[in-house]
Amino acid sequence: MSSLKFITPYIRPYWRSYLAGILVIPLSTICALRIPKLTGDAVEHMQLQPGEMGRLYTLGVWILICALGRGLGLFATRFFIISSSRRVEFDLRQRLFQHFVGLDRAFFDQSRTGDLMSRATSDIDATRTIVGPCIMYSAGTLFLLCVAIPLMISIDGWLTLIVLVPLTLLSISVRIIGPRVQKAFRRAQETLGTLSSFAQENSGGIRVIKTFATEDREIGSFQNLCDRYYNHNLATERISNWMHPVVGAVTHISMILLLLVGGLLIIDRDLSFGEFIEFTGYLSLLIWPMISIGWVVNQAYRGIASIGRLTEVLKEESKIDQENVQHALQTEEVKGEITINDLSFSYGLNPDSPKVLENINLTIPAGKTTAIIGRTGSGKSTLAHLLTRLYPVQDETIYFDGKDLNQIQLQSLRRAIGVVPQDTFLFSRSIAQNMAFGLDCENEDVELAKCSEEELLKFAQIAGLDQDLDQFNQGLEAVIGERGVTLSGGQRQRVSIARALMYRPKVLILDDALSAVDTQTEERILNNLREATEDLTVIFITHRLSSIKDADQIYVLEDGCISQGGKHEELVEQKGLYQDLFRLQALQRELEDL
Amino acid sequence: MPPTPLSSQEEEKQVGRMDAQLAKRLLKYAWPYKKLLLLTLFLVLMVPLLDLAGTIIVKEALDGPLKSIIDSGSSDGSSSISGMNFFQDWAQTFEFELDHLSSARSSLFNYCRVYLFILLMFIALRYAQGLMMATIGQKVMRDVRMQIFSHLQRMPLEFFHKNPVGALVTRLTNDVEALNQLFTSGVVTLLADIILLTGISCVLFYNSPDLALVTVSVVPVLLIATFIFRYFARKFYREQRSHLSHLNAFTQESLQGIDTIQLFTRESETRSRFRGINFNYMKAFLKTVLAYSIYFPVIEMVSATALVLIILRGGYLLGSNGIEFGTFFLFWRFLERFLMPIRDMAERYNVLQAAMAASERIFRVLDSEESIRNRPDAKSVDNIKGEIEFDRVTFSYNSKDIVLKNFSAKVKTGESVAIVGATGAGKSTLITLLSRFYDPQEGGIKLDGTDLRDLKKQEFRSRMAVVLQDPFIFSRSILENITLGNPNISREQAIEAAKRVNAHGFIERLPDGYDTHLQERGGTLSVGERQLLSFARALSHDPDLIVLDEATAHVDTETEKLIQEALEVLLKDRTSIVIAHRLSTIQRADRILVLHKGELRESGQHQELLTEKGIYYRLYQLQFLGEAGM
Repeated sequence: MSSLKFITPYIRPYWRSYLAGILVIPLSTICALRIPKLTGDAVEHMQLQPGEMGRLYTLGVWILICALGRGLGLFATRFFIISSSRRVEFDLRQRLFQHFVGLDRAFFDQSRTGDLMSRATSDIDATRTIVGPCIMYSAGTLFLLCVAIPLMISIDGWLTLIVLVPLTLLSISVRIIGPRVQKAFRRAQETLGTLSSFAQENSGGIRVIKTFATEDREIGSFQNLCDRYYNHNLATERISNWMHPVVGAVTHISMILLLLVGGLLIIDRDLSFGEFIEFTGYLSLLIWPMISIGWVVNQAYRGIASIGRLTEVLKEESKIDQENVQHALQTEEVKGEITINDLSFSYGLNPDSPKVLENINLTIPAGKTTAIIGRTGSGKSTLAHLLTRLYPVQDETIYFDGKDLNQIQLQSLRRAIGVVPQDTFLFSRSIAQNMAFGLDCENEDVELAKCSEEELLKFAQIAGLDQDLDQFNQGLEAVIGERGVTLSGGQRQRVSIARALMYRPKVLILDDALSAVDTQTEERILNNLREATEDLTVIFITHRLSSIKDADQIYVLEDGCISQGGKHEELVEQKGLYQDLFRLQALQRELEDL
Repeated sequence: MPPTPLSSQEEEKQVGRMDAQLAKRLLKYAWPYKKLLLLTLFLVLMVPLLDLAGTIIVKEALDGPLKSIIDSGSSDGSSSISGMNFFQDWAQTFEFELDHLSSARSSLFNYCRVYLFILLMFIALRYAQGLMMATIGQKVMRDVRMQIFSHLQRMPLEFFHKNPVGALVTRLTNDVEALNQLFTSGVVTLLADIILLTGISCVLFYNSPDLALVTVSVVPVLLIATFIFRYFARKFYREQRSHLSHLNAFTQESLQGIDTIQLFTRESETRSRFRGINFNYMKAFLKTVLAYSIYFPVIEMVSATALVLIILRGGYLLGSNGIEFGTFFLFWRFLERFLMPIRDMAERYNVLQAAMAASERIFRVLDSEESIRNRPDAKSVDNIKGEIEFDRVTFSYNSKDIVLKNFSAKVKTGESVAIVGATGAGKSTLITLLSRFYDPQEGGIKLDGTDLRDLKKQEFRSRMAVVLQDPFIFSRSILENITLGNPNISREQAIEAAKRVNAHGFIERLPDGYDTHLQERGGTLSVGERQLLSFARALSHDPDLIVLDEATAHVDTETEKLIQEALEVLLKDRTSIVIAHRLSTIQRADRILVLHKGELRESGQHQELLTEKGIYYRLYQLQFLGEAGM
């Protein structure tokens, strides 16, 4: 019932179409059922007045008219109902996607993309089957039975009963065989899954396999998996192969019974040959609907399960609290001053999960460059995540322009902050489209967006991309592969920098943004950046000192705590992590020159 | 032929032309099962005929025992009496008719009995046919799959770098599956359809050539309608498929890039883009729905026309005593059976094409050759002493950037050599060459005085253990990860090895001990534990030579201590080459080779090298002294 409640709002907009499709069914059913009757009449006529053709022509014309009526009816039903189901599918998919886009990072951390994808594909598909073919077939079958059975009884009650009983076996056997096949099939699919991950792992670990020369043993293990898959497949076949003989058998049994009982009735002159023909005609019209009953029930079960899964995911809510919104920032007016007050954070939910950040207190002044350095795992990136509220932040710990972060409208906050994240994510579009990603009227055509070619080139130059562009024959219009695979790591980072700059933020966070760029290019980009970010608050998160020498202030993060703070000149003099790092990096440069 | 990359773009491309060579090659796979195949083909022949026999029996019954009654017509009005009066009516029948009628009845029973017998045969044979066909298909799939996999095992490392794992897995799964369609849905069903068509045609023409011609006259119309429909259906289907893959790709990308979307506040833009793609997908589907909505009624009309033709011509022939009623019945019943295979013909062709395309992709993998193979006269290796000589080795992966330049070095039996160098100095390449994953362009590597190229590679590889920086852990049990399935390593030996390299402790703490099933890439283990596990793997194989690339990853002090102890055990009394990242390792080494920018620049013992104040001196401060490596 809850499934019904779930699906009704989606059907409602198309109720007229559904109604039209269903209302046509009686017309097409009656037309369909007239054809056996007319055929029977023709046969009767042939018996009574052999050779008299006039009436046969009339009957022939009627048959064609009925076939046309049935054809049109079929057309309308299919067209109205199935098309509507596609529209329902559209709406449902749209709703699900919108929902996904609004969910927070914690949700995506917990869910596997593959799982979410299967909601968006197979679960939506199963739901669509319910509101499309299931409705169409069950309405059609219901009406057909309602009309055909009285017609058959009017010819002979006993004959109807005797012939129809085996037909019900069809629905029953579909009901029985269907789920079993499903189950066996799922098991086979699981084995196939194991088999393909084995093959995948084999390719991934091929080096170990080759160094330990275990190829033959790998082949042996694969053979076992293949055998298992083979057995599961055959088990599936053993069940699913019953379907054909069963359908054939039931049809033939009905025919045998019709021949036997009908024949006896003919002998006793209780049934005319014409009626025998008519009856046979009805029988063959009933076979497919009988199969479809079983099918519809099976599909309905699957659909209900899918609706359950969809409901579950649609119930998820973003944990980024947006209840206390009191300020909506105007990007132009943002100064970009950030104060962090006694901030602690852990990814786990329970209080004793390890703290990633502990008692952080710092002020990032507007329009200045602040650097945060620390080793991998010191909590630097977490700090960046919190500033943009990818994870929930405690009240009164972070202030942006003097306002509590939690009271600022989320989108307006994110509109003011540009981020170059540690893991660069690029979309499989053109370089220009990726750069213009943050622009407001971002369009399939960048030319139509608010930025000109010169502007794109300007930002490409700032991000140090200009020289790379020559390498692609389409320059900025070059489409990059999935996740930007056609670019090198450094190129990806630079596109990401250009993207953040074009977003025109007031605060720019660079999270290890130059890690894959060589030293010379780094130098060049840093020079460009200095100019381009003159009025911005810049937060540099890195472990490379070369990028932050000129920062207005530097904080050193160790194990979630701030251990040192000051300017480069001061920190170099102090004993501590900063000094160590500085010495090591000097050595590294020396080595490179040797 | 060098290994060629199999791009995923090619996947959708349909090559599918039925060339004779391809067919011949495919037939080879079915050959081992020729007896079963022959039997199946026999059944494929029989089953449709049994299926048809039923209708013929009804026809015979109508023309036999029921004939006189039908012919005499139902003019006496008894037909209007309902079946409820069956027995009463029967009792009223005239005495003299009784004899005649009872013989008709018993004859009718006989017909039904024969029909029932045929039905039972049909059920049995139909089931057997389906199952046998499936069995052959599955067996062939298994064979093809094994052949591809075994072939992949022989491919050089380079092949795996060039071909995305996903594409290789697709060859093993989807493409093999498509090949199966060729056997089951393609060829055999096509054959069954042809037999059915021929069978029906024969029966029809035998019974009444006149009426048969009339029936066959609708076939061209049906064929034209079907081909027009197929053309559009295929077009729309492709459209639909391309929109679907677009839709799925976009959904997946949006889910993976959700951070970027949210950080750049692109939620509403993303939604509207999605709406556009979603809409296109729906539109493509609506076209398909329209095509089907039109096609089915057209089929309906064609078969109604055929029915009318049969009635008219049949009525005429009945009038002139050209045919019996039974014949009319036969034509009427066979009409649908006759039209169905013709309708499905186009579908079968599509399946065949897809299977052909898949088989071409499979053969392309099978045709790629090993670039590094054993020489025909390659020597067997039982034991190695572990004396290694790099003799002026020059190597580059792409013949452009030289990774190793004129590198010469000698490692004596029992010696422990450490290699140090900055990132990109060529250290890992040395290991790769030592395993003979590539052959150097110039110079050579000798093992116990013999060039590696003259030795059987699997054999010398199995005598040396290579431990990589980031050890690859299989999603199998701990035990299997240690032994790698080697039957010569007993459980006890594996455990003993684990104990000696300090891995026993953490393994014991796992829920199922040595039988704990690990996650993909050892996800549940810490970096240090993965290290220890790979040491156990190496030690249990009792190699003559150990090649080790020390991990740089940060581990806690306690684990570090365990690893250091384990290294001691592992390297003891063995020839070893270690890419060193630990102070203890370089201090213990008999000799240190300093690799810089692909060349051997310094070599000697720790103290000697330090006093030189050259590259080693700086490397030492950078990598070892700080031990604060980032």
